[in-house]
Amino acid sequence: MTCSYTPVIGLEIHVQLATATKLFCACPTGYIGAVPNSNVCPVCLGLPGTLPVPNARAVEFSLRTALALGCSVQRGTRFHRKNYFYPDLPKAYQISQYDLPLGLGGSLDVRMDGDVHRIRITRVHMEEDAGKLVHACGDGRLSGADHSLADYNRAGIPLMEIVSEPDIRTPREAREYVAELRRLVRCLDVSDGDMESGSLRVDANISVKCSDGRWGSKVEIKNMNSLRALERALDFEIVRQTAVLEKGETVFQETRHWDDVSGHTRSSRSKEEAHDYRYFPDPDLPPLFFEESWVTSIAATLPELPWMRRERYASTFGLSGDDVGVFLEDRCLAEYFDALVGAGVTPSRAANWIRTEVLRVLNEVGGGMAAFPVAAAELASLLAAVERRELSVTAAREVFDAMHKEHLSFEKASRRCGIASGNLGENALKDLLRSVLEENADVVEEIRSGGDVKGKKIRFLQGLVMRKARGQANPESVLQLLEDMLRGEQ
Amino acid sequence: MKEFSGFDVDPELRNTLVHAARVCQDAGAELVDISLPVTIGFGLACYYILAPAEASSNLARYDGVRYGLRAEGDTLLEQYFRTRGAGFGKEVKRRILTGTYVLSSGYYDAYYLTAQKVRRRIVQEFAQVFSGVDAILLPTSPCLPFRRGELVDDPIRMYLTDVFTLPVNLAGLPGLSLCTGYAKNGLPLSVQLVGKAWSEQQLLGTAAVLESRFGTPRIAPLETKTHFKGGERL
Repeated sequence: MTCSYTPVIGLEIHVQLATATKLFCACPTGYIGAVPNSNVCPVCLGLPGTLPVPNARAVEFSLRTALALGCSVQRGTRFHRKNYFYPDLPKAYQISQYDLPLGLGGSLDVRMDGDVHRIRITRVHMEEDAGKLVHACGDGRLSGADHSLADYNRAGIPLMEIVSEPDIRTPREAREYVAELRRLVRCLDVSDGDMESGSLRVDANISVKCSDGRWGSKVEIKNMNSLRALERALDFEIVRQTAVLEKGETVFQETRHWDDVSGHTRSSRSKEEAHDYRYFPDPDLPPLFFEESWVTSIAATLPELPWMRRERYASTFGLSGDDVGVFLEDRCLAEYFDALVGAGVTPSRAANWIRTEVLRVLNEVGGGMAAFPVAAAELASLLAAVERRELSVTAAREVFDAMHKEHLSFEKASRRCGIASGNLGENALKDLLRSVLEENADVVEEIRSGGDVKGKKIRFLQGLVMRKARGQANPESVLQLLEDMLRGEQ
Repeated sequence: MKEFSGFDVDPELRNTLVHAARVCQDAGAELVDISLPVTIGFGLACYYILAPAEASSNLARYDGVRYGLRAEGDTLLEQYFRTRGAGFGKEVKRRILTGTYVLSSGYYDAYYLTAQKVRRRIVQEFAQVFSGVDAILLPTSPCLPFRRGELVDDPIRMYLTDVFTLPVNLAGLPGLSLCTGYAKNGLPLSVQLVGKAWSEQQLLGTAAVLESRFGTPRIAPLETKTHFKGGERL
């Protein structure tokens, strides 16, 4: 008998909160590139006699996320100690949450191929990060390292853990879920959501259910540093676990590490001993009780969430899925788009300009949208001139380059490019045409003798006129005039 | 207090308590008999679950990694075992073991959680008593001071000497011990005053009145001198 196998996947996501200081002390959180053990103090080093003080901003960030995910926010929440020995944990316990997390129950909708899958969220809670161990030896590998160095810059950085129910059925769905969650935390400004640098870490729990009723045990996979790695690791595990069940064997409950280079998961021995974390309420931290009005005001000031924006762009503006996708990944870009549309630019033109011109400049210059020098209102003036056909697209690009390179307004940039706003008068245009025809008598001759079957030659003349007009002519009327003149002189 | 009459309190300490009560009365206080059955009956047990639980976690940081003593081992686990084995004294180890046990999964509910519930009952019991009185007078300890290390091998007896002071900590109340004189062997006698939450100022005022009426010599006489020689502590 052949069985069918269904994967059952749940994700635990750790999001590093973008606060200026750590969760329980005033140390700065920027640890990337910092000298080891430079952003530390007696509190995050766990020196005897120190006491933690919760960071209100971290609580607010977590609340914001919990509310956006539709969690019920607990009126009272408290911190627990998770006790275990490891050299990266200065106090030998991690301050985390246990029985009264900040948010309970919620959901995130995942869109795939036009379908919507609702993934339930179990809980959202706060905890502190541990330090980092650097295993020192020639090739940087753990095996063969003769000693380890501890860097506590990361110890105490606020994390938010978002736990999903085992509602995910495919690796692609897992990937989309994480991508949507990443859009959310970026949109809420609570984290940069960067997986590579570890601002967003995904642990996956996966088991495979056989149609004959057998269940494999839950396996936890760690160390997936990109969306692609997550998808590959889950794909690998499904194949592995299915093969085990097919042979009639048992899938063991364990933690496995994803190796991105070999494309395998391997059992990590370090976790084999069962841990008893001896969770208990941290006596150093009183429970937190939220004022109703605070929670309400946070809920009321949530920005437009990714799924709302997606809906608006698609149905109100009729943007393509590609355009929507680009804007959802970058809130600054989306806000710029909204400003353009708000200033009267057609949504499709605004989207097109951002995706071609603005992104081109950002790619060249770097620094992201925040540092982009052209105000939306100025670009809107430029695009309005294009829409009124006062400016060709080519000329508009030239003006745009002047605007961002020299930080000029639309007015000044057009003058700098020798383009007064508004089109050439008809007489001036005709003079220009005449001079072009004179200069290209050979081409004129060819056209007249019927040698321009495909219309390429007349377009060549049109191009010359447009260049000389420095964009201050409507290309269609130029073509019309050209045809008239060529015919008239025949 | 009813419960305390059943306790094996040193006769000299019992006398000094009665004396202190009379002094209070002379100073204008009204004496009321109170009852703290949960506090006196379960406070000590409750404390010796909660305090070791916290201690086991608080002291976990002395693992030889960051600071303090480190006894090297071939593996990380061995370093932990050696460091903690060498660095902690007998009583500390006892408390770490007790605390780890009461927090372990499977035992948490029976010990730690139950003790927290008892603690809440103690808080409530004190609150009820304080609705009728301003301060509570009780012994500081059921026995005279014992020698350093004397009871280290009899922890239960040692812990029992804290029976009157620990509940005050559990309830989060201010308490103070007041020297009322000296026993025949020269060791200090004392009574304890416990006040309502945040009544430290009033409590110190009451203690000052009592102290002046007792006329207690401020410097310990006689026997204490044998512990000092030429200003050097032996």
